[in-house]
Amino acid sequence: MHNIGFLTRKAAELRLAALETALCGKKGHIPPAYSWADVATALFYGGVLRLRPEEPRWEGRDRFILSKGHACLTLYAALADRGFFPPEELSRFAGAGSLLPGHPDTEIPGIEACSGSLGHGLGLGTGMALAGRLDKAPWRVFVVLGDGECNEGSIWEAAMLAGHQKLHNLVAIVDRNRLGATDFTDNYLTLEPLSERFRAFGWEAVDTDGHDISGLIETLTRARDREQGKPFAIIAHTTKGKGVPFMENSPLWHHRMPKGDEITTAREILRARIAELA
Amino acid sequence: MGLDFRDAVFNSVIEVMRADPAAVILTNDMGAMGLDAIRAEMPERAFNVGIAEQNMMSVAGGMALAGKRVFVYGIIAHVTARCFEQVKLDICVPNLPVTIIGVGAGLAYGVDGPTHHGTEDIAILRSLGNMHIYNPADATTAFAAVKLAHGARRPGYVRMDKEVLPALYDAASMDFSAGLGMVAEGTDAVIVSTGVQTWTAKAAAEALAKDGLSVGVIDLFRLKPVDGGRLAALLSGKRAVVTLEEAVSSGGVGTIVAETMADHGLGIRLKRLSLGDGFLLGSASREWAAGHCGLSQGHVEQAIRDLL
Repeated sequence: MHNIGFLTRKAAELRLAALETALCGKKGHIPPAYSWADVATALFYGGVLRLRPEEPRWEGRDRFILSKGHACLTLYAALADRGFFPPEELSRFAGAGSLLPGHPDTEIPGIEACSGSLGHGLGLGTGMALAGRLDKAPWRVFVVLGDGECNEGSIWEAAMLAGHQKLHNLVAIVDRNRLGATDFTDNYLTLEPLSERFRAFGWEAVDTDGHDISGLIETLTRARDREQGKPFAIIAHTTKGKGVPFMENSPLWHHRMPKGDEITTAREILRARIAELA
Repeated sequence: MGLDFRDAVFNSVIEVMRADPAAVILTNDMGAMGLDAIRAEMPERAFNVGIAEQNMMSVAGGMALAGKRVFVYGIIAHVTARCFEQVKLDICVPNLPVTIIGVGAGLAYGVDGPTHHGTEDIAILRSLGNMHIYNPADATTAFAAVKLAHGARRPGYVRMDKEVLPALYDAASMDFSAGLGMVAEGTDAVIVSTGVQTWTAKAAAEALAKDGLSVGVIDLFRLKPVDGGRLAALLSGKRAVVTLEEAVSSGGVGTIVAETMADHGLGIRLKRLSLGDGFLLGSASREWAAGHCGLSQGHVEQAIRDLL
């Protein structure tokens, strides 16, 4: 496992790669990719997910689903960096016939499910966890959900089944950035008390700082290594756009693309952060 | 001797599950005698996932992604339209071995109101890539369809009726992999039908024969994929074609036959008999709807006479 300095720098590198990828494709959801970038760092670099990049379909791998598929820029950056596919693919993001579309699909090495139509990932993860338990498999299932995505009824259908089935091998991480596409989530559909709702559905649930990489690794590893109990929900409290102040916590920044000086500023901030952590 | 579709289907499912340890079955709190037998024999592989069809399809996809071969059982209206996007994205796009078994084809639940009519399912599921669709007219075909769908290791849909009917085919001599059966030979005209309406088509052809008209009957029990070349060859040289289905007018057998004729340059007069474009309110029993919408044996006979 890497030290926290390396991990913090890695998170900044993922954010910069996500920005450059979006600029290449002239589209993408940058702020939602930034809110879970530290969660992604914990999962992909903190020793949480057991993966073999050279063998993406390795039977013993932990299954990871980014249910909020629009935030795939961070996932693509991590998968490319971990060696699942060549980094040059990032520069062809959303290009004509390229490997990487604006939302993930199952042709991409390291991607388990088509996601981005919200509300599918937890049900898919529940199915994987049911199958894994049936086979007494050692692998675990991790699903990253958006908080706005938790408006979808299908999320709660899945939560109900996973709780009923006591799927200890299923971990859901809610990227609680408090923003949907146009407004703060609780202005249009109240999600709170979110962790209590998961508990009421038969889950173990904790609230945590979604930008504290060390804390995330500890919580995720503890959730992963349980041999029995309930499904585990981590409400990761995050800031949408985290890492680039002018994008942070603003309803304007969902899939808006930076322009002109904004691009320069964002690059400078992220490059300075990386240099500072080198 | 009558055979029940549900018994045939679940007898087939239990055989498959005995032979394939990776096979599992999910239901949305639906019951069936055959399902009880599966639950008793292999309880760890039969899951009641609750009345939550969207999730049921995602769970089916997730289980298939993790190596299982999944049957999903429920009423047609609920396991097709309600969860269409889950079937598309979580099962068909990744081309997973999930067989949806729907009960209540067409107006099998007609008297239960439009919430329970299975009349748009063919049209919508035909639009999905990788999907195979079976619509058996008898228990023998239903039994075979389950085996074919499971054996194909891809998304499948078996559309099941509730009637108790005699066998249309001799299982020992029938090649179900062809996707269609020539139920009656004829040189003047052909009726192309699917599901239990094939019995109406057969009776109409027999009645017309008494008047000296030679009318064939094709039972199109696999609606996707259709072997267009084979179907076109069977239609070729006839003077009239009538299609018959207890479904909306778009996307089903009528559409398939029209497409096939266009693709193969067949200029044959065609009449499509269906429930039309719309919804049936009230208690739409099969018999009532056949008269109301023009699907009765008399309507089929008249359509053939009109075209000839």
